[in-house]
Amino acid sequence: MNDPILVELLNELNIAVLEHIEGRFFKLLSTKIDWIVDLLPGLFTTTDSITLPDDLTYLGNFMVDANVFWLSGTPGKLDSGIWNEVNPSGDQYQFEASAFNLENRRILMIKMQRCASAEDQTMFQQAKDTLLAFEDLSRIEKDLEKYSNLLEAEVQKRTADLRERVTELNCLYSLSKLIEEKNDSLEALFEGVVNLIPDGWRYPEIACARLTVDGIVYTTQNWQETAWKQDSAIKFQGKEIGALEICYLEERPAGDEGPFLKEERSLIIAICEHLCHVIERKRAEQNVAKSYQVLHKTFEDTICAIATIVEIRDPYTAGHQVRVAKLSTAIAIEMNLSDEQVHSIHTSATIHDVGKMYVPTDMLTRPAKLSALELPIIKTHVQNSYDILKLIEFPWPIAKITLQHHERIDGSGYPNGLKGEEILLEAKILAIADVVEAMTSYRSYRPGLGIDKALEEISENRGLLYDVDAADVCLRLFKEKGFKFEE
Amino acid sequence: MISKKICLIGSFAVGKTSLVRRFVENMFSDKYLTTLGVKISKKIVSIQLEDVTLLIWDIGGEDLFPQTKLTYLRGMSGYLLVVDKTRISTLEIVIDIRKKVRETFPDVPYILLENKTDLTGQWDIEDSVIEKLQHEGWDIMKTSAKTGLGVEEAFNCLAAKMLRKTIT
Repeated sequence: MNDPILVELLNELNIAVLEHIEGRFFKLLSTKIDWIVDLLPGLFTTTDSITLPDDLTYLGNFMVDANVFWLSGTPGKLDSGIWNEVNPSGDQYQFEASAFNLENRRILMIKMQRCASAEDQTMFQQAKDTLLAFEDLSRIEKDLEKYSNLLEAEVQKRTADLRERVTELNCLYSLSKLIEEKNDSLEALFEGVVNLIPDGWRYPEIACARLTVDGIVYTTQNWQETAWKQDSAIKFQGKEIGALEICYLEERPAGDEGPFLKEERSLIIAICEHLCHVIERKRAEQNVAKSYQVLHKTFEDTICAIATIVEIRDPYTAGHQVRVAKLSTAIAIEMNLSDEQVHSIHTSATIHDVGKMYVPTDMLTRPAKLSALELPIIKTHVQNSYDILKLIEFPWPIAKITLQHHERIDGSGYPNGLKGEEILLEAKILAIADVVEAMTSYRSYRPGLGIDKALEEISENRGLLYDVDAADVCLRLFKEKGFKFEE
Repeated sequence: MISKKICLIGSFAVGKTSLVRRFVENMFSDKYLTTLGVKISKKIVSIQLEDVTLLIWDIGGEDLFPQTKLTYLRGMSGYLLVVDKTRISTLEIVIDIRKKVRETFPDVPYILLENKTDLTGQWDIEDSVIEKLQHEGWDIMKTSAKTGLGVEEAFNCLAAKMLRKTIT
């Protein structure tokens, strides 16, 4: 290469140009620059002739392809691709060689470029970094999708589980409501229970149920015992009194207990416990009711016995208390008094003259009027009744009512001359009934005066001696409603 | 002294340059610098009482391995196929490269290196996949250029295979 400018230019561009002579021998056409010497150490045989290294170096490897290229005579060039070398000082350089066929001359061009520093981002570096980031993103996206799918599956599972729990809770709630509604009849309750059972299970469309209590069987319409069964005993005070059975009519995928869930096991046990409590309560109520009936009968019988004691001693007033009780109760009912007041009046009236047992029989049965000295003795029967009856803890003021049944609203009664509101309403009613019955009944000292006379007494003295409302009701009972002492 | 050419082939950023640097210089850097072109390193190793100069060609990684790159492999005595254990795509690429290489260099010994095994929480290549390849006759070793795990052993193992090949 004779043109000095061209040579200088090549130097500046860090390009070495060699011409292939033969084999591995080349002639250096450009200047012998330092990096060429570093690149091919010890391979300069003369100032401008070079023996290229063996095939194991990059350049040597390229020479194999270059030779083929030169032999083919193909125009154009063949590139080696970039390779890196490190000089003795440790600096890294990049080279690229190209082979040319130029006017039958075989030219090898080696271009050197200083490497960019480690911190500089080349286009390739950026591209690779971007590709890596993209791969990371893709992986994250895949992971996100995977976890999203897992999460979705988990959410679906938990939603399904929750739905199951809601179904079971609904079943228990329905059971509670049913227990409230069918409070009177256990049979009606059990019929209802067995029919709401299937809806509490996972496959209600193929579920059927059978409830057995004390040998009585209740089933759903589609009941059929199958191999897919879940059951639980109903125990009362430790003894098995029945069982609840649920069957699936078709096979279903396995759960915790055949096709059933462990939650359904909890549910069936809960239902059986509920039923057990209901049965327990019902039986207790029945026992209480029975005891109450016995107690009530005992009470009534005792009252009758007390009434009989008096009447045994005074046959002329036999039945008097019963008849007074009938009239006074009718008045109380007609006056819309409470059940409590009606009972208290009835009881009071039945035994209001118990105090007469202290009155000498002679005085009770004498077929003549009593003397002025004897009348007060009769009047003591009221206080006597009170003294006896106050010893019994009645649920109503029986003693007081009997004490007051001879009081009059104007204060002219006895034993305490009470007036108006000082007298219990029950006593006022009893007073009217006592007078009416006494006047209409036969006495040892006179015949019965008749109902008209009795009602006249009440009518004339209503508001004076007798309570107005009670008196009016009494009159209405006889005149309008046809009340009679004896039926 | 015998010289043997070893080529490191694989996708980009799998750790080829780091493996060479670990083996030749016992150094490592976390920073990823892409390799442009080819880097050739030398190391003398002693295999079966014989000193061997290993000429290690670190070939810049690309997902495509064009025919032209096969020229880089000319004269090689063995090669290391390198994959990144945290990126399964790099294994898929290497399987493809191996097919191409085997067509031109059918009897050249190789080892597949599962690199970056130190990143245990990020493994993307399942053991079952590796076992399947081993079943098919692949030689596979776990390495970490970062910790040095298996690096020396991998190169020495390949060198021994290359020597055995030479003898037979």
